[in-house]
Amino acid sequence: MVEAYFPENLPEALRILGDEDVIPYAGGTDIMVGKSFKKPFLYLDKISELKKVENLEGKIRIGACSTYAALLRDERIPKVLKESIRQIASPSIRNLGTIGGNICNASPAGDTLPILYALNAYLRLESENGFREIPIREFITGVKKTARETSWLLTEIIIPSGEYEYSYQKVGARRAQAIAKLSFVGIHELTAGIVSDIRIAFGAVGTTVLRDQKAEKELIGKKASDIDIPATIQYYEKIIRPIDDQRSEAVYRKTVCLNILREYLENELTEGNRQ
Amino acid sequence: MRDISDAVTKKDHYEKVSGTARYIADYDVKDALTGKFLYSDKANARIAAISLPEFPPGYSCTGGNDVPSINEVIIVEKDMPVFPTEYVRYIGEPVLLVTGPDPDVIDELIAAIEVVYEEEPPVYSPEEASEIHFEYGYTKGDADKAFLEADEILEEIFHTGYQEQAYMEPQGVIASYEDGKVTVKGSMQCPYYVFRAVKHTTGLGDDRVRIIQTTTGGAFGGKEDYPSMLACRAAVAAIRLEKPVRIILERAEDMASTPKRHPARLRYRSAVSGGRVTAMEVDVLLDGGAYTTLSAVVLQRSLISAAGAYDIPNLKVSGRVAKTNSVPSGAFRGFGAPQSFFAVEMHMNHIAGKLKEDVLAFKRKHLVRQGSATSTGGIFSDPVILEEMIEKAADMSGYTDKMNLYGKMNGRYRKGIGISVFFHGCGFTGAGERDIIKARVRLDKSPDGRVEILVSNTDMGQGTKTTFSKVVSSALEIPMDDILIENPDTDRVPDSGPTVASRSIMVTGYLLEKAAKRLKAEWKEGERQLVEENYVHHENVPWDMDRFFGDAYPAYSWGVNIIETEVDMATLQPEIKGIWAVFDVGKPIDETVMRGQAEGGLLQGIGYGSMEKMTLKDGRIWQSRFTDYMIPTSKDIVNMKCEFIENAYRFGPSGAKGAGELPLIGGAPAYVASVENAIGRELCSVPATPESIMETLRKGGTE
Repeated sequence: MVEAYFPENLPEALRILGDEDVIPYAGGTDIMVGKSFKKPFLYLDKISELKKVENLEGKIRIGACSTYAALLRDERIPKVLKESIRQIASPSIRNLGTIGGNICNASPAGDTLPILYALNAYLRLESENGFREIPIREFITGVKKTARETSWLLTEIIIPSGEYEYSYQKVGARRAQAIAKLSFVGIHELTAGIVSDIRIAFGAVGTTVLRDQKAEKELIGKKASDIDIPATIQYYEKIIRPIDDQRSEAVYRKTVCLNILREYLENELTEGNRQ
Repeated sequence: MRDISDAVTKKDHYEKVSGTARYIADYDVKDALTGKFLYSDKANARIAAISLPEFPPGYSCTGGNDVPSINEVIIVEKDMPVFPTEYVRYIGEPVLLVTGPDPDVIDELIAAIEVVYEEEPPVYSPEEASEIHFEYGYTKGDADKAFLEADEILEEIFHTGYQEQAYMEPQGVIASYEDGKVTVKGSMQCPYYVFRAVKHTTGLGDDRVRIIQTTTGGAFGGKEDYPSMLACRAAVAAIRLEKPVRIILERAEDMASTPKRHPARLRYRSAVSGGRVTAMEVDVLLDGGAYTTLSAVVLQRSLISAAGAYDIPNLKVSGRVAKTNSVPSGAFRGFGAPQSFFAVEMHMNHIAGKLKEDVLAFKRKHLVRQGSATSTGGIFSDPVILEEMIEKAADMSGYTDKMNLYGKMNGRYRKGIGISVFFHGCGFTGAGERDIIKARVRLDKSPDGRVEILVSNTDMGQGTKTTFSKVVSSALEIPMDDILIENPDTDRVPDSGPTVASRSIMVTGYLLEKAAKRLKAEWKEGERQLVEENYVHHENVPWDMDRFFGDAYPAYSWGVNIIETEVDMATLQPEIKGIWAVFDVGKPIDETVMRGQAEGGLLQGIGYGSMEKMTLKDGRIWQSRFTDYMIPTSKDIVNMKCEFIENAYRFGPSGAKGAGELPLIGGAPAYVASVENAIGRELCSVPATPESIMETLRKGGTE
């Protein structure tokens, strides 16, 4: 038998979290696939504070329990994030699943994660005793592992606003209801033909999202047409280390990552989609 | 009278759309115990000892020593035990059935049971298997001579993988035992198969065994053999405990432990003289898994289909089913034919390519025609309208123009188009209908003029309740509402055979049409009347199993598929751009039902060819959840354009032939041909996943 709590507001939820070891339930689309539950659930869907989206001081603050469907309807959500959400599972899953759930599930194949890494998102965690804000890359520590302690709750995802071009591609075994074999996101800004900002992230090819700021720094400040594409590909070839599993093969994952990166650098860097 | 093809509301429409249909899991049987299996986690081992935990009251376990009569499940052979007592032969073989009131307690008990195994080396590769389940072969003409005289000889090896039936409703039965009679209800295709199996295992007489099919949520062959195994296991426990026992499989255990399509290795060697294929030498190796199930007949169909829809004068065909330590392979829509048709279609494409001939023109000059000999020396005695069908499919799809344009594209996105030509032999292979099945049907007219159809063929979603009713209603010229048809119950229905082999409409439906015509002639107002009809065999060249010679099937249905794809060369993911199909199923009994069969089957065939990948990892099925085993969804395809050309069959109701399996067969070869066309490389295996396409490109050198 499953025990459950239904807090109506955030302080109540944080109090329960402080008192007891519970499983925060934020949509349940991943958790319910499992079989036995040894801990009580803390249902978060009645807490309106966790579903707000705000645009404050150059930052978009997304309540952790906002469903994918709600985010797709919201004009303030970055287009590149919406593009990844549109390819998550099916309408029924998107109606239930939440962005905070996707983050805390910490699957290597989590669809929103590469985008959030590339957007320099950071996360607000709260407990009865206070709050802290940390970059997403520090929060996700491994396969299904996060830095969340049991008394803390992920309450907000904070994305710095900005203008940029983007390119996103998810590769799955079919066009809906598929876990990514790999995914790619590239975000950049050109100023007078010069790369003034670029961020590249890959999903599902490592224990966590792969984003390498050293490689990005190499590209910043260069003319888009002067980028040494073979050297960049060679660099990423060394750091992308995917595995064979029941869904795909390491060699495929790696080759396709590099193919998409090459397409991006050759053809899209100068003509991406505008956020 | 309106045309019988005009769609009607399905007989089971209301219960299906309203959600009131009761599947086996919906039955709430008083005092029923839940049964769950302890599965072997060793692929090949002797059971040295089993140590049981203490069972709380009401809980117990049933095994091989509890079988009242013979510890065998009859499928075709008797090699499979109900529960193994000495050896386990694959991971996922049920060793014990633990029963009790609470499923969670059962799980804990199963976890606490210790089986001591003495392991022996397992065999997973059919090539390395030392034992074979079955072996057949046949020849036609003089292949050796043709090879000696050949201008060119081409040899290729093809591989096809497992395919999981992926029915929506998992396997399940409820067995009960009262007053010396065992009753098994459940999701199944073939109540009389289950009947015979349960009789054999329990030693009970005909009047002491009763099998009832419950509304079945899809089967695709997966509920042809397995329900016999499940029913025997549940019946043994129900008899021992004198309580109802309910076994409903979870999805993951269903996918990991029930039979699926045989993986195959097919070697094709062809002699070409004067631009024609003069001989083919074909060797088929199927992975049968640990027990024989239906493998003998699957291999037979595979071998009979080896030359495809082509008139090849000289043939040398051989095949084996290897015994391996993996999940037994079994029945799946197409039953051995999809493997052969994939291989022969690709082989013909590749030969045409080597000869620098247009693929379609090359295929056309080899097509069988009315009067042609079949591969096994029978005769295609009915009209073969493949030319007309190809013409139509090519017109619908713009095949010729696209073929001229595609295949030499550059850039990231490249288009391709492919065609497949195929048939399906309707009904049981060889003399099965005549010698084994001997179908019988009954119509029971009540005094109020309503007529009940009594047959053992099941409606598993394919629509036979509706199509049988239409056949009878049309022959009797009475309204559909006056025709009754229930799920079969062996206490009430005669044995009209199993619901397999595309035989229901053509064989059972024809008997129903005959019975209905007789009832109409003998109709007496206000009286109850019973009319029975028995199968009569029609053949030109009698089938001889020992020589593998003669008419292998009473009739053939035909198909032509064309598929267009666009391949993203960065990801090697093909995107389907067009699907066209033309079928000859004699006469569609209901256009909507037939369209459902055509589109569903074709999609299943495309899944087989593209993404349905199932493999063994250390003897265990690696993709045992729907998260990992991919079947295509509506988003993976475009609207299918399916057409039917009528070609009435003399011995089918209103001219109908078999239609259930045919649409699956051409999907994979047409899909893979289109991908080959796009990427400019030959592909020889399915599923042609992006990973395997990449491997082919790598092996082929620079891209």
